[in-house]
Amino acid sequence: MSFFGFDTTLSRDRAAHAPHPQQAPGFSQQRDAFAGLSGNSNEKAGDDGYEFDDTYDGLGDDLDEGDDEFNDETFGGGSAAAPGKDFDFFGSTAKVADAINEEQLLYARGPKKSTQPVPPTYHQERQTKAPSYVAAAKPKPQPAPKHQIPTEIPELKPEMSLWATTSPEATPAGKGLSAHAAAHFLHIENQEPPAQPNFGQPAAAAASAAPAARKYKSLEEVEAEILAKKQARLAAAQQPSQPQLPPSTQLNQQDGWPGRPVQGFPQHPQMQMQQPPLQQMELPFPPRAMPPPQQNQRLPQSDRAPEHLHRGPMPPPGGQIPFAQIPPNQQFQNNNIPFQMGMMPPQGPQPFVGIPPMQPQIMQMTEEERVKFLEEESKRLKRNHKIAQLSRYNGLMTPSDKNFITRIQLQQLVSVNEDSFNEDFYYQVYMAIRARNNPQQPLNQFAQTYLGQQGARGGRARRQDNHLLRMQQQVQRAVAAAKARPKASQLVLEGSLGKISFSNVKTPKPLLSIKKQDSVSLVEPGQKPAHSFAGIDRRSILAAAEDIYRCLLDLDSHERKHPGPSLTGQQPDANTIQWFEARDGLIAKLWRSMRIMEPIKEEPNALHPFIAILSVKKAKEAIPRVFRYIDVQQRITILTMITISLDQVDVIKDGRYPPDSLSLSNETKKKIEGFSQYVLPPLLSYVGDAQLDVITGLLGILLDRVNVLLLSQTQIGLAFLTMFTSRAEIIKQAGQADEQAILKWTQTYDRLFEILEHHLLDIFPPPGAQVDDMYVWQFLASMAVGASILQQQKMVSAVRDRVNENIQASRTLPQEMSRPKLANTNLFLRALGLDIDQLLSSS
Amino acid sequence: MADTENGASAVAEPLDLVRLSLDEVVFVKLRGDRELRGRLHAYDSHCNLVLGEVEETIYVVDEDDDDTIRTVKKNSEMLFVRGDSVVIIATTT
Repeated sequence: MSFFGFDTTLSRDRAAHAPHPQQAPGFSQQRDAFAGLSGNSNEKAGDDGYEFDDTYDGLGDDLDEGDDEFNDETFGGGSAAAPGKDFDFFGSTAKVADAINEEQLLYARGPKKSTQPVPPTYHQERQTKAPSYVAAAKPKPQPAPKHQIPTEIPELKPEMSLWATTSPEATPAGKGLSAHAAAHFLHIENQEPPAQPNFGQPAAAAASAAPAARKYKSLEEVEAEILAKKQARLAAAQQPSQPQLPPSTQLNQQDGWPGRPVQGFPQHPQMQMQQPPLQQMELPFPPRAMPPPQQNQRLPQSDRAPEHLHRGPMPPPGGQIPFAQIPPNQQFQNNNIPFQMGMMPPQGPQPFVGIPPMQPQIMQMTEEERVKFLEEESKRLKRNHKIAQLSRYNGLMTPSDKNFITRIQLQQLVSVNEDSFNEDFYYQVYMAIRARNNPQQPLNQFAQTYLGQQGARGGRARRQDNHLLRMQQQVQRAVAAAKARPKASQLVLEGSLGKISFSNVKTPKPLLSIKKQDSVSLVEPGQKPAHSFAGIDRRSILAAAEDIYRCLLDLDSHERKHPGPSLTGQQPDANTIQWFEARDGLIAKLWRSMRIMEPIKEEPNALHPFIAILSVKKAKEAIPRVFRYIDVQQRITILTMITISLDQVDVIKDGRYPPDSLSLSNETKKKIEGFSQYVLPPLLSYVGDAQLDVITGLLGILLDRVNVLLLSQTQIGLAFLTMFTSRAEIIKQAGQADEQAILKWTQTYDRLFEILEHHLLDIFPPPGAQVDDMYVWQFLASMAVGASILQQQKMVSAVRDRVNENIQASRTLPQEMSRPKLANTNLFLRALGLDIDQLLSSS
Repeated sequence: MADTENGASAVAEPLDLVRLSLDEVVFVKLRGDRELRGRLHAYDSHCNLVLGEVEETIYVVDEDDDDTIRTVKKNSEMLFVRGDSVVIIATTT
């Protein structure tokens, strides 16, 4: 068992049994300082009166007395006086108290060694003389009695408790007594401050691994304390009816509860907190009437304790040892078990040591109360257990760890937001629709929607709502912060040869970086050279049309970012102002892209860019979309531009029926169709609101600059004329114009009539052409309404043949073909105040 | 031509040329001896195309008849063309 292979077993142990002696536990074995008090006291009860020979292991006989020459050098004993007999234990110890504490600390940390006690005398001597040496000697565990060998460094480690340890020479009984005393000290010490909760520090644990900070008390102090305690206990016993007395509480703690901590179970504060009420409930029992006889017996016994204690580690007189006092250990166990098991039902009579503190209480209760009490207790224990389990992992993560995790989570949230929601067209449209009903800050839209779902799911308890609300705000802040922070798209590492760019869904890693220059913004209106569109090729027309579309798409997507309707009477916030500014910029860009403001050239056949662009089908289709964005002034500009250049517009230029042909080319037909489908309606809607002088002006321009005869022979040209004349007529009939405007209009109208009056038959598509000539009759009707009587007569005489022709045809043609012809004709006749039925019946 | 400036602005990458032909009638030559002529409605970066009013011409070598080349014509109202078979996209006018 010894480190150096010496046989350290005591002689009696050697004789008793071959294996390791229980009294001298080896490494890792807890030395039980109370061993002598519990079972051992019974077993050793007989062998009081120890002889020196019994206890002396005889090792001294084997000593080699020869090599003592350097002892003085080693131990420095030469100059010191020879050890006398007047040891001052207390004084000497106090001098090295620091060293002792340090030693104890080291011991508590270090591996458990065989705690072969060392004779205190030697111990004291060495320590007083060379405290630093003690520390140095520590790592070499040395069996105690070997200190006679000079080269070997003796074990100088101090005992855990100076009183609790005994030398090997000490009798077992003395050992037991001193251990008992130590246990008492511990109790006293811990109970000293009445408020201290953990009075029941595990005694055994305290003995083996004593807390380093513990201060040793002088014997005098210990004595005084013990005396005071005993007196207090007696006093309490005499006045049991005063429950609140501190001494009585102490008594209960001492007698009723001491055992609980012995087994070293972890104690939950909750359990301790519950003690005071239980003690109070216990108090109505007079202590003397309580069943445990030992308890009563102990009271007088305890009075004698100080005497033993006085003698400390010295062997006590043999006869006094086996008194009837129940060793605390045993009592502890008896008390302890029912309590620790929690709510075991009362197990019948407890014949021996006292009924555990809880039991009288339980027994006093009725059956229901007991059940209830037990249930509560078990619940409480379960909860404590759970808390203990959970708290096992408390403090694993530092706050910065938690921050780190939170940041990762929030980052994820933000990227989810940006990637799948911000870029999701359908989500945006959906949110835009929702935002209309429920105006929100667009920036926070995501956070609110995202957590809105969460909230709907988890909104069971108010407390949870609170959490969610807080979380929601947090996320909103975090999202806003993350958005405010520009995202680095590339990283330059020191020593690397290039930049490392990373991609995400929003900004994919560009494989080719081709700068797209904003062409239209480069071209300022008016700055553009006049000849820029001189030779218009198809490709530049197409490119221009694409420009228009690009601007339109930009505007459309910008429109989706509308900050939402501002409340009435409220100043628009900076966001809204900014949005409108950006929108105006985009509209200006769109306007420039249409090239409508480029100067009109005087030379013949010069095609204006806008008109050229308009020849493309997709450009025609863009007009209604453009009209949504531009203002009234811009609309009238477009209308004027088209009107001025009307004879150059492809649908007019190619719209005339070529001679000897009954139909237009397929392509032209489609163009005409597209023009009337896309370009005319927005113009018409504008004209529908225009004032008479605008109409007069437009018609005047038309008459001045355009070949109206040519115009009148095309469908679109007639549509324009119809548009103007009918609108003017409506204004006139509604009385919305003053005399002067009407007069001006009438003059313009007369000019138009003069031009057309001899060519009215030419405006019809060639006879036999399978086309709907409704537009012609519409034009005639609109002309007829505004015409004077004279003009009407001229018109009737001009188109009479055509009318008759239609009536004739309607008689031969099947019903479904003749009806539209008659209806068209009737349009004109009605405008004259006639009806086709009159003609039909007359002829 | 002064409006190369416009052309350059609208054409920054090769596919922008195709963009100019949007909504126009284009000629598309395909692998497998096929040609298409139709109105370009849509395209993407893989040259996947959506064409309307398409006339498809397939050239077939007639092995029986002295290796003469025969053409088969088909008309479709709307056609999706997968980009990996596109060889040429050209304007028709």
